Amino acid sequence: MRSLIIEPTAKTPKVIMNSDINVFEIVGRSIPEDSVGFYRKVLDWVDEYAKNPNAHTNFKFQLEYFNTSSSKCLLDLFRKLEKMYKNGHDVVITWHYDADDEDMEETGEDYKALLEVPFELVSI
Amino acid sequence: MMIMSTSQPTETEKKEGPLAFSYECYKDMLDNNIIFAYRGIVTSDLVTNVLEIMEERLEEEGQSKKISKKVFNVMVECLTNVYVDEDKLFKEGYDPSALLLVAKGSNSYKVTTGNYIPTKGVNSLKLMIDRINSMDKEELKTYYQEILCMEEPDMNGLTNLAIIDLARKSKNKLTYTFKYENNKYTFFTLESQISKSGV
Repeated sequence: MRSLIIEPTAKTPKVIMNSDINVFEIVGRSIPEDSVGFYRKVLDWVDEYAKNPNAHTNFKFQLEYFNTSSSKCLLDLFRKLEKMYKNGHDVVITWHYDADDEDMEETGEDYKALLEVPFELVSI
Repeated sequence: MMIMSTSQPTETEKKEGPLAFSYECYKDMLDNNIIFAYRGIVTSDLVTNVLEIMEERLEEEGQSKKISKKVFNVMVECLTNVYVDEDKLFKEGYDPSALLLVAKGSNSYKVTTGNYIPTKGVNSLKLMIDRINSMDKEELKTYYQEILCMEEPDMNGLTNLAIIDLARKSKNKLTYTFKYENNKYTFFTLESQISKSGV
């Protein structure tokens, strides 16, 4: 499957969706004006990947800042991963946060409470 | 050029415009401990620039990383949610820009935004903030999760989510003012306070 690589900007995170090397990452800032437009590419890629996923999928999220509209888009993405998990696939979400950033930790806890998919919080 | 203060106004002091109020403006900012002020259109480019400036300011002041992070998170939330219908405001003769002030008190930082909003939305916004202010930590968490899970939140839903998020991140009650201009627009200011103790 063709990879999805989006280079980071001051407003948008780095995205790596590469099923060949089993790397799925969203890292950086997520404060785009058009969050829906930005995440649509990722959501579409995950839809395609979900048709024939790898034996094990670990999605890594490591965000510095994100705005409200991004938080909704992230939940949409998590729901797709949750669906994959419920369909019997081995899926884990890891939420990495700066040890000094209690807001990001709290947000991770919110998502974990809302989802029925393995969701690990990792302090860095 | 140095401007001297004398009992008789000099030619320079008689002038109007920024020269006439710059000293008062500076004094007001000093007296109110304003460490950052901006008036203009809010874009996501601005958010990144403001963050860079504030990062340096807080670092210079020796502020802990934990509190700096909290101030940044609140600022990002404030700035990215100052939703202004610029074109409409401009066409109707109103200033489409927003105001951002950051003040540093002895025990806290205050982040204040101001912008015009439609007057017809004032009551519902006021009720919303009052409702959020009446909630404790657990209630805010539950309410946040409830709105986050809404299938298709409209602009009101996103605004509510942003305000709940501000209340949670700042850990303090939000304060606000509405300065009524006319039936069309009202100037809305919202202030979040972040305690330096982190509590």
